Amino acid sequence: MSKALEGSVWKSYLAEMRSALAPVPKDLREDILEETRSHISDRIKLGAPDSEIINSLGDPTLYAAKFLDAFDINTEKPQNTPRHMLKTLLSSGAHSLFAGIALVGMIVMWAPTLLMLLFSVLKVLNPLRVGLWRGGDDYFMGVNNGAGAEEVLGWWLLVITAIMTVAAWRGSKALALNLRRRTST
Amino acid sequence: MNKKRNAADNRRAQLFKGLSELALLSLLRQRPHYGLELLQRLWDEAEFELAEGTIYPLLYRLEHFGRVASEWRSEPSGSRPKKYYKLTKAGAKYLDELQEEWRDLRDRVNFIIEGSS
Repeated sequence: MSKALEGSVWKSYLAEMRSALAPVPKDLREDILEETRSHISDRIKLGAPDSEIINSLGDPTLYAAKFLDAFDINTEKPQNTPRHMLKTLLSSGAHSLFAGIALVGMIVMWAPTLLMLLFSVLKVLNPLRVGLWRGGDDYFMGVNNGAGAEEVLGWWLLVITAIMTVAAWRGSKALALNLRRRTST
Repeated sequence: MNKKRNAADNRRAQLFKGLSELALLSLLRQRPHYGLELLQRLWDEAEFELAEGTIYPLLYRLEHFGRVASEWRSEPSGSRPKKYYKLTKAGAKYLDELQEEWRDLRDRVNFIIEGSS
């Protein structure tokens, strides 16, 4: 759209910014770059020389780093994993109602999931005696020692466990993201 | 020595960042602005020397925490679309708190200055 940005100075400035912004999600990265382009092209239109704009924005890598700081993006390891969230919860749970609710949410999601994971491992080890059993009107989940009950889930147990694990994982990530927003200022 | 200097620089940077947020959000309370427009008003109307390399990360941070919202608007005359920022409800509440803190701090500092002269 604007020919002013086709010069090699700006092409390399934006390319360096793009590569330094690699840890930022793609949509956000494109947003930042587009806004930078828009800003530079307006400044050029207003008569500012390239060198003045570059001086004011700063080195492209350092400029990009300010956005990473703005989002508290830690480039060494991801911060919104359930493990990180549990750590945050244990340290801040007492101070925040939401953190308390999130902790309960984590337990509700993960306790049955972990139990199902345990049953899945047992099912693989001993397919004939582990599963969801029906004896008359009663159902029970686990290892069946006696006769007279019929196993109703079969290998679907593993499928259900997989779905529960994915749901718990995604749910925790959503909670973690929310918690980070609420606990950061 | 260097550590002391760094700590002082850091404190000044934090204070300046707080004041910059206060200034940006106050302008956005009036109406939505795009980044360069905010910069120019700060430079021209308040002689507040916020750097071009500081304002956008600050705006993204404010947006990240829900204090401002943004939308791209296409401009007539063939120039590039611009990203406009506006204050959210949460941002307005945050701005009220910042303003109150600022007034309180200003009064205390005034009290010390006037009391000691």
